[in-house]
Amino acid sequence: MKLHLTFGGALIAALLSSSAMAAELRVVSGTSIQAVIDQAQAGDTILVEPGEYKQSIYIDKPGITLQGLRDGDNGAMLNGEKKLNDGIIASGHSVVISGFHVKGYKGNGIMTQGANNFKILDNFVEGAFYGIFPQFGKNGVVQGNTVTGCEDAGIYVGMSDNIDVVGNTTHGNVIGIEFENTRNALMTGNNVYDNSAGIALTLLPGLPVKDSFGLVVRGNKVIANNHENFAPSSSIAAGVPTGIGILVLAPDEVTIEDNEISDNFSTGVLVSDLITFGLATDPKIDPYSDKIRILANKWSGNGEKPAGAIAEMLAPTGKTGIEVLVANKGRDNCLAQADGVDSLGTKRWEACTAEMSKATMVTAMIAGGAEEPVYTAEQKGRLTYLAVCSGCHAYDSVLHGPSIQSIKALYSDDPAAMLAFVKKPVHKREGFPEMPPQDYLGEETLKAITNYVLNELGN
Amino acid sequence: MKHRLGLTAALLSASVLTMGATAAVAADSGSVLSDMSDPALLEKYRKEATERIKCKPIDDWDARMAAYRAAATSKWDRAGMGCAVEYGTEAAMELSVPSSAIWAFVTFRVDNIETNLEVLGANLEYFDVLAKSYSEHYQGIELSSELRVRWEQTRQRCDEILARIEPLIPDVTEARILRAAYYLASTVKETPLDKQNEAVAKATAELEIAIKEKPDALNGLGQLMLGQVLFALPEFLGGDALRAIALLEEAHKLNPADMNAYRALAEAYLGERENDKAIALLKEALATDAAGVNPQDYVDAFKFLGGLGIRVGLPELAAQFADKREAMLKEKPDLLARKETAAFGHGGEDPLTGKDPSALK
Ligand code: HEC
Repeated sequence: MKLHLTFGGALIAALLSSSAMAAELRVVSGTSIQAVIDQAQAGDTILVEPGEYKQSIYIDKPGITLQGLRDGDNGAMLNGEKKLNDGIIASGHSVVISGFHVKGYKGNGIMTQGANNFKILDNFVEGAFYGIFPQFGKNGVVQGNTVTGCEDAGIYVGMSDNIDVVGNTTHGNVIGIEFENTRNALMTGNNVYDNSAGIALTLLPGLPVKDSFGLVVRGNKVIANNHENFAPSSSIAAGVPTGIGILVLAPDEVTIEDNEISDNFSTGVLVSDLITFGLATDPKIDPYSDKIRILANKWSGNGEKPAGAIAEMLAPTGKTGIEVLVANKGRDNCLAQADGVDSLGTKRWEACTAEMSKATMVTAMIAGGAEEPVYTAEQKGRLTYLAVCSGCHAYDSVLHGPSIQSIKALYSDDPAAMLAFVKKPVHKREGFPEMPPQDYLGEETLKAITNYVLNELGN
Repeated sequence: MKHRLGLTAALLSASVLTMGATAAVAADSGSVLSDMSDPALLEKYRKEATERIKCKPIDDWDARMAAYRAAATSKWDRAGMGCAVEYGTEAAMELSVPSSAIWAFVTFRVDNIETNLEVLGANLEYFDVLAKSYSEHYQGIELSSELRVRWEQTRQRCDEILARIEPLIPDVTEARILRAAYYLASTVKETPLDKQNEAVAKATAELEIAIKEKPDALNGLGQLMLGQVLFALPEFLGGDALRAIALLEEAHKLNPADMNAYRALAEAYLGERENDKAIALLKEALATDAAGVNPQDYVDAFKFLGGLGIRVGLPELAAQFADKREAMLKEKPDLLARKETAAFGHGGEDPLTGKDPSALK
């Protein structure tokens, strides 16, 4: 049985080597998750026992798996109590975040920033602004999560490449799932219902990434996304029209195929350009949606009761029941000429052909994974400022906290004092809420942020 | 009266589905942004802004008019220009405006009409200054409160002047065009969607009349605005890209130094995939004599046109725009370079490279 022996030997060797390198650590119910992460080595798995954790978490080591354990109805719950800003922020590559219930955070539920090869699996996220938000990531997957109650997007993939969003449920958000300034991504098998708008594929102005293409939306259920838009009036999401199944706003090379798109009251799919939305402010961006391919989908009951912006738009035409509504000067777009698809604005659209189908596409991820660059202190400072601090501070105005300009004036000569404040803020200003402590980010990252704020930002 | 209005850049956002139009519902999910939409907090910041931006009263008419003239075109100085247009409006309100153009000639008050129209124009330009002060994505409550108060004050000043010149509109095409410009410029921000749409419809109707009445009025401002509206609207709502281009070409011909005509026409060419024409136009714009243009308009337009250069794959052309722009910024350090900074995870430089995403080089 030589063959068997070699087999067994290899298996054991593999097990030995992986357990030698990667430890399994445990967080006892209710104790500090961050303390265990801080002790962990790259490659470790951290198991978090069921219980409530009123904490913010930051992971910047590579290869960390953070897993919430479950015991019957009890799970590991991160609760920001509407006081803390972010649930989990991760910038370490190959991070895995799974099995958590995340709720009550003022900013992001789960965010990755600059993390490549990430996995966000089987979490349940409630509110507040962005639910699950990978930004600046290459090669990642968001799978099996449920997200609800977000004022912007439930699952929000921003400025990322080669991402799969698979088998998630999003409901009761302003936007169910969004790809923003993202390239090569697959959205499939998701259940998207009762959001204000189900799915949004957008290319927004003013961001470092100037294009978006290669997006496949296939085999999703996009149903009854008619929720009142509850985004605060000053937010970008407040302008998202209610009652839309899928919004396509300026990306190129989009395939929409084999979805069930039904009972979205304003329209099934809206294909638009940035000019129509008053967003053509970035000259570097091509504002049009080109090469949009709407292949065979199951359509029913869309556009029956247009609301808000779409109602305004359609009023002069006297039309309702529009499944595909186009206000876009983009080129090379096509619609499968299945019967029963009522469309408006598709005069220049062609009929799609069979070879455009992406039915056999399995993943948008890169075989072998993406590179895992080590970030410099400067990059870390910028990334974390953007992810965390910009959620409450703006440069030239009060946001939630005082303006960065005023902060720079206070601390330009004393970075150590600023760092001390940020770690453990004391309440100073009347009429302002308290700033939540940011010590979970760790000394090194906070130093990088302080340096960025005092020496680079706005200069 | 010569038109030197910078309105049309703002009109790029006069569109059918403007994002960020005020929604009716307020959120209460505990997010930072929903905290910021608490009505009591908004009221507090609003009051503070109103106090902060008050202008020193000037009693004497001549002094007021002088203060108006001194800063009415200082587009880089939101506070200074705000007070200037306020002084100008107060001064204009003291001039009697006759109820008909003929009566104006008879009573030698044509100048009074001109002054009123000019001050109205300055107020309209101020809308554009304000519109450009909003951040690309999100602004803090202090800034947004200030901008809202300024917006409403500007709207009110325009309403007052318009009420006086209303009777002249059938006789004075310039006044008609300015009223259309008011409809458009005053609804770019701080306006619900239905009102925006209403404004676009009213403006379109007025402009159609005006460009027939007097095609060269205000150096083609009517064509410039109508062209932009027709370009922005979808076809099924009366949009017409080809007619838009014809109108924008006419506007450009009538006023070759108008930076906004370059912007709008280049964008329209690109929309019709007429890249060669767009590139030729960009090269023409690059040669603009800066002396004939408001310097803030110049640096803003050059940033935009240079960006278009990058979009069409001509980084060398973009670099030329950048050089001229930088030279102007150096020569006049008060000008705004308009570097975006981040709020709510959006905006600011590229965190990986540190580069400004709008940089032309
Ligand atoms: C959840 C919102 C929130 C987040 C996130 C946040 N801040 Fe603050 N910050 C505030 C508030 C509110 C204040 C005002 C607190 C006061 O005066 O009592 C403040 C005040 C400050 C001050 C002023 C200190 C002083 O002495 O006056 C500094 C410095 C500061 N923040 C830095 C940061 C940095 C750096 C980050 C990112 C790591 C950050 N903040 C993240 C809300 C926040």
